[in-house]
Amino acid sequence: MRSMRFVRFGFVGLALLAGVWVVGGGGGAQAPERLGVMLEFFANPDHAPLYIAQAKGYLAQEGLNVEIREPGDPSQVPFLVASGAVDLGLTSMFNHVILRSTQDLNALAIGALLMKPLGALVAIKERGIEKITDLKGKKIGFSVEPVEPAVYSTMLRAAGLDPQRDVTFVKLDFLSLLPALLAGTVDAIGAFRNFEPVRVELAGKTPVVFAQEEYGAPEAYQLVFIARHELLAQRPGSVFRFLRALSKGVLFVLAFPEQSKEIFFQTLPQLKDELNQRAYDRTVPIFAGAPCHNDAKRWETGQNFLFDQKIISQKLPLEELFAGSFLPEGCF
Amino acid sequence: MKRLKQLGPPLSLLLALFAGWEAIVRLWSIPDYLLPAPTAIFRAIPDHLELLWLNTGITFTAIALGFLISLVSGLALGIVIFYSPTLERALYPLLIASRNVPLFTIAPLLVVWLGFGLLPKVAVAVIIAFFPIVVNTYDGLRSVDADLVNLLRTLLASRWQILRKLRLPAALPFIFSGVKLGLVYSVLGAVFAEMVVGGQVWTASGVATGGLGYWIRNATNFGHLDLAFALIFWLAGLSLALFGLVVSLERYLLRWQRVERT
Repeated sequence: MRSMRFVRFGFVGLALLAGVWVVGGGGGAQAPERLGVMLEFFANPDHAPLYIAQAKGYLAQEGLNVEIREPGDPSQVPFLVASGAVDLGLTSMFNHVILRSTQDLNALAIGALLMKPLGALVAIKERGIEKITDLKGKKIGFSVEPVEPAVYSTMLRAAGLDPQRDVTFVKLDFLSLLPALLAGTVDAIGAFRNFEPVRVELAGKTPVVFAQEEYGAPEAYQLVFIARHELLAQRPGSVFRFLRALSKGVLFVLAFPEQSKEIFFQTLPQLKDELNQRAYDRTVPIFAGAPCHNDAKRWETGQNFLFDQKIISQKLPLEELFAGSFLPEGCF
Repeated sequence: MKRLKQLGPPLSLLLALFAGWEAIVRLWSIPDYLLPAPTAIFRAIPDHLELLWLNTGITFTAIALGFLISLVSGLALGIVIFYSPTLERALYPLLIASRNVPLFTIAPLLVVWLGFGLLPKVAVAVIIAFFPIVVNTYDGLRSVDADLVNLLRTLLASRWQILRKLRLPAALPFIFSGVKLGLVYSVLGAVFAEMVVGGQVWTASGVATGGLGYWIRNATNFGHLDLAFALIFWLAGLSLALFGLVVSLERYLLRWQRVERT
């Protein structure tokens, strides 16, 4: 309760500051600066603070005209950022570390959107799975290699199971994961804890969720914004102002979840269904603290995990993975 | 009456398929998230008219441009390589190789090369629709009876006259086979591109205008299989209508063939 009050005060304070800044001419009369942002997937409640920052005019107040685009293939986003096809892009912290380490991808993480992992193993209670050890002898569907099998193997080992012998991993297309779980083709799936459990509920069943960080896997940032080095050198002010506007969006979502939900679904009315509305409620707490992605320990633990799992063969200095210098005041 | 008779068998088969599908879904209580019933699918169409309307225009533009570019360039290149053995030797292997381009890899890169929007979609449509038109044009021009060509030559016909009066009309059945395939591939290419190219922006009206392909994938992701199937049916209807147009044009231009047969 105290933390919510703090968030509200923080929000009001920031709004006042923004007002003073705009009245003081900070917004200027110049044409807004264009900034292209590519999401990592279809627009959904995971991106609420960004759409709120746009709908509430926080981005415009910062002199930015942000165009939000969806990718065709989530795995291409980092490459589109590195090539300059888009200015900023969203990807997972793990994916970013892998691409920096293995391909020297021209990009740095500049801020986070989702502060905790969404990754989880999701099963159905009615099929007799209540504890993670109940997965012994079962099939687990997943869609993204190599991180997912590594994370789930770590979780199973932490629970005393042998991932090689005790379970069978089945690679599926992302879109077929949930139908496969519901139809019983697999017994559990690697999924997002804010979405797939809702879909299980909507199908009239009881979801069982094993969150990855509760079973020994690292607490990585689920989504970070990345930008290429040239953009950071040429337009550092734009990146800083983008993150400042985003932080106002985050604070608004946290302080006024119902109002922000209404604005979000007014902006994207096609998304307004039971699934997305329930998912919205479950996603809100995961925005707390965004965009401050400068917890070095998390980056270190995440990178060590990937190294230990032999997904990367070299560890980079943390400053080659993320930059904290573009974060708004309050992140330090 | 004759037209109605022609439509009878396909319509009856379609109705029987839908009836069987509906019965299976109802009898076995198959849930919507695995297979929606045809009635649910048809109900989704009026529920999403704005979405369908906006995105049909977008997909149709990509299909039409992709098809027209493939048609013009395919016909031109088919004729050029027919008349130039050197170009034929140089280009034919490349053309065949182009058919094997792994589009799933190329499509996202097209965004980097061509930017977001219509262009990458048109490019994917052209990459796959172009091939059958070139090859069939070339094969059609080669299939002309050599005696007829010689006859025209003895009458001092120019190369252009031989092409216009003999080769092109005689090649038309081949060309139309290529054009029909090209049209189907344009639809396939444009829709596939909409699924994988990306770059959609939600408009102020609150609808993402990524095209029908984008929405098939989006609806599937959010568990709206009724909408996904409705879009597939809608797209099949659009494809059939376009195919019908080409077939009508073929019938008109090849009416001499029917006269000959009778």
